[in-house]
Amino acid sequence: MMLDDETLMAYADGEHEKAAEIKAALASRPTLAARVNEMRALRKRVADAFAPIAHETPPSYLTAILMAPRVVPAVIKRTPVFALAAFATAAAVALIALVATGKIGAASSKSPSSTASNDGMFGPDFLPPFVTLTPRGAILTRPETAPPRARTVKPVYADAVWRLRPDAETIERHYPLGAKAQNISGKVVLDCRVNMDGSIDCVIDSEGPAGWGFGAAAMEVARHFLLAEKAANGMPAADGRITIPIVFAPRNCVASPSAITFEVSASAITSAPALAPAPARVVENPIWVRKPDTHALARLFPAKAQKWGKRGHVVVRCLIALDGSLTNCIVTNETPVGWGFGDAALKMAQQFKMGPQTVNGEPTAGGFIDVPITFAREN
Amino acid sequence: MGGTDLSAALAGLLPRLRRFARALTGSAADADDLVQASIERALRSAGQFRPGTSVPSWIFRIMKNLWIDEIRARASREKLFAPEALASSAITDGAGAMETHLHASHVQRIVSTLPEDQRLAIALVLVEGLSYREAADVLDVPIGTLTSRLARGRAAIEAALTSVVETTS
Repeated sequence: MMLDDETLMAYADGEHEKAAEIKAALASRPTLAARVNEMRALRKRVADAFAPIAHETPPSYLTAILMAPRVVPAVIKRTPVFALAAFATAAAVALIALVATGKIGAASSKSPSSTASNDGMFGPDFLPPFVTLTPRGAILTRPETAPPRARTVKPVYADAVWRLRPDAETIERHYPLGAKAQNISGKVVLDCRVNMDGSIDCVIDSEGPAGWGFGAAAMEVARHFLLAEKAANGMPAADGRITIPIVFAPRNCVASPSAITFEVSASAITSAPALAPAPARVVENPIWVRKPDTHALARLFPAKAQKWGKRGHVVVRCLIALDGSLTNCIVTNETPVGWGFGDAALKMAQQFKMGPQTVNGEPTAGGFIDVPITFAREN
Repeated sequence: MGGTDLSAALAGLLPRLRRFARALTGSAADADDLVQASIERALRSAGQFRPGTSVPSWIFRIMKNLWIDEIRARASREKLFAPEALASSAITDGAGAMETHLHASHVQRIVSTLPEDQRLAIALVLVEGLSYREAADVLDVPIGTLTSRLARGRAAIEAALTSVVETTS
């Protein structure tokens, strides 16, 4: 039997089908047997050199790609998403129910920090549980879990007015892939505080089923909400608290395309708020008085994407301030995600400024605008 | 992917994908970029995954293809940006190489200098422990080709290790 290097290598790697025969032949050929041992030693040496990498914790951004949002090349819609009609027709692949209860400090809040009295009253649990009063003063103890959110002491109001709500496509884009693949639906209840500018900061109040990334996905979706300054009843929204249930539900197949149904949780239906009475104005054909130049593009182009020759497309939706600059921008579309294009586009949006009137003579301030930004390098 | 959870499978494979990417690219930064690009590609083309086939083999093939595309694109970019850009990229490559030297072991460094086809064979069989058959499938080559690449790669590593010993002693 011919025992050349490739044969010995295959034998050393446990790949040769005539292993028994070779083993017998090697018994009388100590030099070749030593060669096999060398080959095995080399294999181990190479494997050992790279083994530590597999014991590192992968960077979180890699895990995040697999846990949360799915990269979907989305169609850029110029239609406003605020009107209910648009909300319904935009249901592309999934049907998502999404209703925000318009009550500050509304029910369904299960966190221990909000167990007690009605909002608007100072209850006996007003002191955070980690403060203990003793004759010698207050003792602050480190809470075992995250400190409870500061209690809102505002009267309950109803009828939140939304300037911006995520459309079905947005929610679809964030649908956790693994769950979607298995037709698993999920519900997340977010407990949110309204900022001065109408955006919301949320924590996850409940998430079910856990482990599919629904919570993280809902937190991403939450970035697409913007409240009007005042509720329909005139109460200011800022600093208020609002509970938002978000349901991810796979579309029940193509059977009857005409029958579009939203799966809405019962509690959400009863407390569904009125949408903005006057849908927010979307400004088109603005007259730009300042736009980012190519230097800005070069500076803000995400370095990693540049290195890898990645192109990106982002749409940011912004509120137009009185001076024509863009504020409260959010990313409504980012393709591909994970390369920093969204953040770069948000920075770039700060450099736009428009005139007080559009080409058609309509006022711009107070309206919304969708700004598409493409990141592409000329080769 | 019919009933199986691709995301979860890939999440479980992440440590291995990073290791394979390191063997393939020879640089920590390139490796994680390659993993990112590959899992994005895998998720987008999840529909093309045939149930019953091996997820590792499938994603390794995606990584191989992306990496080969990437080195070709880099080569053509360097040709296009003459000569000023070439100089700056040479500087970058120098810094990258230094970083690699600081972090990688002798063996990692030697593997990174192998020709692409030998490095792929070494990475799949010796680092990732694929069988010859599986590795040949990932690379879309006959098993004989895989075997000879592997043999040449091994010989090159052995030679490099020996010369290191000779020069340092």
